[in-house]
Amino acid sequence: VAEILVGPVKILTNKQGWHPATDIDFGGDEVEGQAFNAMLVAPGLALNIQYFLASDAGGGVKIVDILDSPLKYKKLLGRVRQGVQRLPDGFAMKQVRSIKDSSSDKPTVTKATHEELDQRLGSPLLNILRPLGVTEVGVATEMFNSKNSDLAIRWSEEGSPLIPFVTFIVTRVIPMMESSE
Amino acid sequence: MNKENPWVLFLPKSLAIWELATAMNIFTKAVAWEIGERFDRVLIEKGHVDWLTQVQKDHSLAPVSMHDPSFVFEVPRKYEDSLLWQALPPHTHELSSKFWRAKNTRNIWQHEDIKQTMDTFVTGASIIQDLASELDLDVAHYGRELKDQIAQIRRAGGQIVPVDQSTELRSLLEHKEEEVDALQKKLEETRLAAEQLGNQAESLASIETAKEAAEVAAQEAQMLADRLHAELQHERLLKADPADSFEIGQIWPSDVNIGSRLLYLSAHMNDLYDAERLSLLSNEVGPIAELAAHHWLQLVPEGGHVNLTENGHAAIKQGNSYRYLGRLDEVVHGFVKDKPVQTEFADQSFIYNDGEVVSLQEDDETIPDGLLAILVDSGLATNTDIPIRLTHDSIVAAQIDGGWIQLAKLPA
Repeated sequence: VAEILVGPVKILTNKQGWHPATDIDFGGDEVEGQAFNAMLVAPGLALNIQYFLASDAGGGVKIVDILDSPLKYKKLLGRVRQGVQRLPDGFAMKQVRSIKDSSSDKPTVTKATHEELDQRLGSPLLNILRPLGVTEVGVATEMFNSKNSDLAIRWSEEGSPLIPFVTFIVTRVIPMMESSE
Repeated sequence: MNKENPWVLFLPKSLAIWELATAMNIFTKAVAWEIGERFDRVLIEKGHVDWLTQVQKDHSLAPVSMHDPSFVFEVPRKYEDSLLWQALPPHTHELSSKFWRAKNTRNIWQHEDIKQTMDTFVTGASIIQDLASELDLDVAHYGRELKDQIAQIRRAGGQIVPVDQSTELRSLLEHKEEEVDALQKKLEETRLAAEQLGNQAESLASIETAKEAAEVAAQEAQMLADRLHAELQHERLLKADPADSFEIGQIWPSDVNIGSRLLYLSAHMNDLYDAERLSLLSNEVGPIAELAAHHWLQLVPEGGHVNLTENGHAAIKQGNSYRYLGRLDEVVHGFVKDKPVQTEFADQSFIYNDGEVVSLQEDDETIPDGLLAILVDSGLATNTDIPIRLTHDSIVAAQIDGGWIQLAKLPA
């Protein structure tokens, strides 16, 4: 899939695909792994986004460059990363949270519901996620026996690397686009 | 005299699939139409007045038009003893295979056009052109013109932007050519009239008038011819691209048109991003965009804003100036897609057929990584053994029509 549309935002990829890369973990240490690069674009918006998976652990999705996009998107740089966890049989995002206050200088994320995300997108999010390989969407408590009751999404090894980008758009980028700044 | 072919060459202006499919379908129909006309002309000359009915009966075919591409391409391929071969060169396996490849190409573009690409278009046009050339058809030149057009679109980054000035000039020139023709005709008529008058009655006062009119007409014609010549020279000057002589890395001169196609050379994507179309150039023109980006990022690792001219010359913005990067289709040293191989071959050679590649080296049957993907992507014909070789620079070449044509460069 070279291009898919998520609400007003298009995800662009090319044949580059997965490639060796390094990232910095929460402890500040460099970790080796694989990265998948993409661009999130809309009229007046172009963001470089990267999905990084450490060789022996999970990873996440983050904005790495806002190019010529409006300065408000700088708030997404290096912050509000969407974590991805490795499972024995695939991957999951056990905490799908949505940006809380897009006008804040340091926005944070808070719990989101499936319905909120559908409403924000204007159509069922699953219509985009299912063809990409998502196998389950629900509450983390039920899906993973987690202590938190966040929205969670699971997909198999064969699932598309675009899945976390889709979620990132709905939970981070669209709220920023809708902010009046 | 031959009838005029109703299928007029359609040159695509972009790589939009409907334009490519339209161009290919018109080309195949034009070729089929001319072959159908040949069947009709030659077979009737040979006494087979009702040849179409006869062929339908011989091969148990449903009623069909003599110009239908599926009929024209399929019957000669399928039936070696068909009456149709009486209107064709002597039957050979090679010629039969050309009909088969043409039929496949027609089917692919008719029924699976959505899966096609710029590269499969070039391959398809070559296949149809190959058959047309073999049969010495008038429309064989369509193939060359279509491939030239695709090369031009590729250089232009996916779309040819019409240049109004050139179009207006061409229109003006056509108009002036008509004027010159009319004046020359008038001059001849006047001269003839003057000669006749002179022979019959030298005393008539109108002789002088006629001669004067003829001289004036001749002078006007000469003046128009001079203007035409000057304007043709002007047009040639307009067409000459000064960027052809630029050195990579030089500052782009401010008085040379820098091109209106705006792209962003992205190190993140190893590609060129078009903000106006919200797309990556590789999704429009194929791997050449990624090859260009890879090459240019070695010159400018951080990337940046790039302008692309109609001829595919690229310049990157640096501060207040622009630096020349090269031409989109000639960025990979030694490799220019679809052009003949210029360098020496390595020892390895292969045969590709129907999605499989086999090494011909007895002592080394290794298939290089990426080779099969390149061959599959290149849209080469199937059910035909196609010789493949590699150059020392890892350029993959296929033997097509006796020549070695560059397909792609193996990944490093």
